[in-house]
Amino acid sequence: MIANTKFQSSYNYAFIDESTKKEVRRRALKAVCIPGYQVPYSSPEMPISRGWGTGGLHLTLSLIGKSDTFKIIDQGSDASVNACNLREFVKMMTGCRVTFDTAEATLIQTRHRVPEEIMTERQILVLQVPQPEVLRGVERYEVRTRQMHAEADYSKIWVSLYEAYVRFGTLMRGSGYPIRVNDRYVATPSPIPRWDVPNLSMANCLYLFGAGREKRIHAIPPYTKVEPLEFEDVKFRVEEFAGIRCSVSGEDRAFMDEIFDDQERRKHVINDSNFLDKVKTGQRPPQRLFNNPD
Amino acid sequence: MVRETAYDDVFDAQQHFRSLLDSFARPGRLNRLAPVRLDPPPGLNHASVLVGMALMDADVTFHAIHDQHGESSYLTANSHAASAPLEKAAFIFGRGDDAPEILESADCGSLTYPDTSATLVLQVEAASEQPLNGGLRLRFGGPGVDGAAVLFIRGLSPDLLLALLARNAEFPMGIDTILTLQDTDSTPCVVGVPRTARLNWERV
Repeated sequence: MIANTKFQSSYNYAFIDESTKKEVRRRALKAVCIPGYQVPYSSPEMPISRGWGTGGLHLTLSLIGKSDTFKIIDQGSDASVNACNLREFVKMMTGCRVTFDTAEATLIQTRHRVPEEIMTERQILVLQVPQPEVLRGVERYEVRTRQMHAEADYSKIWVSLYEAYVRFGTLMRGSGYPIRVNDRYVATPSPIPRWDVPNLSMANCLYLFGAGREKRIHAIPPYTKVEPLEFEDVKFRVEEFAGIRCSVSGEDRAFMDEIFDDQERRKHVINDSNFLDKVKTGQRPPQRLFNNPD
Repeated sequence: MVRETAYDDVFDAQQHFRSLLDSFARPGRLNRLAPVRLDPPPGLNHASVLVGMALMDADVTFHAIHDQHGESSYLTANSHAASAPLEKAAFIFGRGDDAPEILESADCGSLTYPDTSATLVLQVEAASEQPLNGGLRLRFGGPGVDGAAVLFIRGLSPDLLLALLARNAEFPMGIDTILTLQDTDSTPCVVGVPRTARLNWERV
């Protein structure tokens, strides 16, 4: 048998080599200094495919240190396959503490959700982004979207919002509702429900967005104005769960998953798993809730 | 020329980067860097060196405004970054009392690529949340600041600040600045001034 020597060597701390980490760090700093602007970066090879959370992983591994407590969620859940595998990987590569508790974590990587619980000043949220270019749906070419961002020419995205309204009667964009950051750049909040979008504005924590496949980093610093795009007469609205309560905890006022049980009965469950755990013990953590306009 | 050996490329760089990230995310906050035993030439304070070592490598260039005592070769030896003319440098090492002209040729990036701009590492004499005599009372606003943040800074010339604001007037283009200093107990400290920072000051 041929001995496998290549994979017996120990890895660098946090997997990525120091020079590449420095590059990601420099880009992340520029991203924070230019809120909402997409900074190109190297996006090095990872042991998972591009588009499976590599952008988030690059940021996490470039940021993380021995004193960090790491949490990772996928669609609000600590227990999904993607979250479990990446948590294992980060723990293996850094030896840092991992947790399910949102309040305890210093660094949280997430896909598709912002935690319900209010984040604090000492926390950083790293979001995985599949498509960082909010204008890609209306403009195919990178040179052109770059020019549009440079000139703050966002007419096409406004037209597409208007078209969504005409077709569906609401400002619906699937996931990834366009936001304007600090009165300048229009950016994507990554695919999160509209429910989470208001929480990006004037937050206590720093938000970093990593798009591995598209090789872009953008950021929303704390205490930064973030507005969802809306018209004067048609306002942005978050999802409504009117009359719906969580079938596990009996609580409402949280983002709900719709599930069907074995008898095909429709049920709802709070999506954020750690939030649900805390609610079940009777200690509902503080939330920022958005009230839809009348 | 001194080759620093006490510096840990992995963990010191990571810790200091996190402080820098926090500084840029929260302008006006005085962040202390974990001290490392260093022996820099007289034109560089410890915090400036630590910023250079945390962020620079062979892929970037820098320019040291004060280079009478081998500051450039010291930075090259300890970060592998190459020295370059001011207008091409990704990092510019200067002092808070330098003439405002140093900013005239610094790279501000372009409208399509504002991230290619220079980062200015500016040494000041002292900074404190408590009033300091003979300096500026600097008020920070803008992204990252909850209402307003106030910092007292000595050794930072208002003319240089005016020049910085002038270069940052055309957002998204601009220069991001890190103020570096030694604390009273000689802990290296940094203050982030991103291009988005709104600054007001008065002499005290």
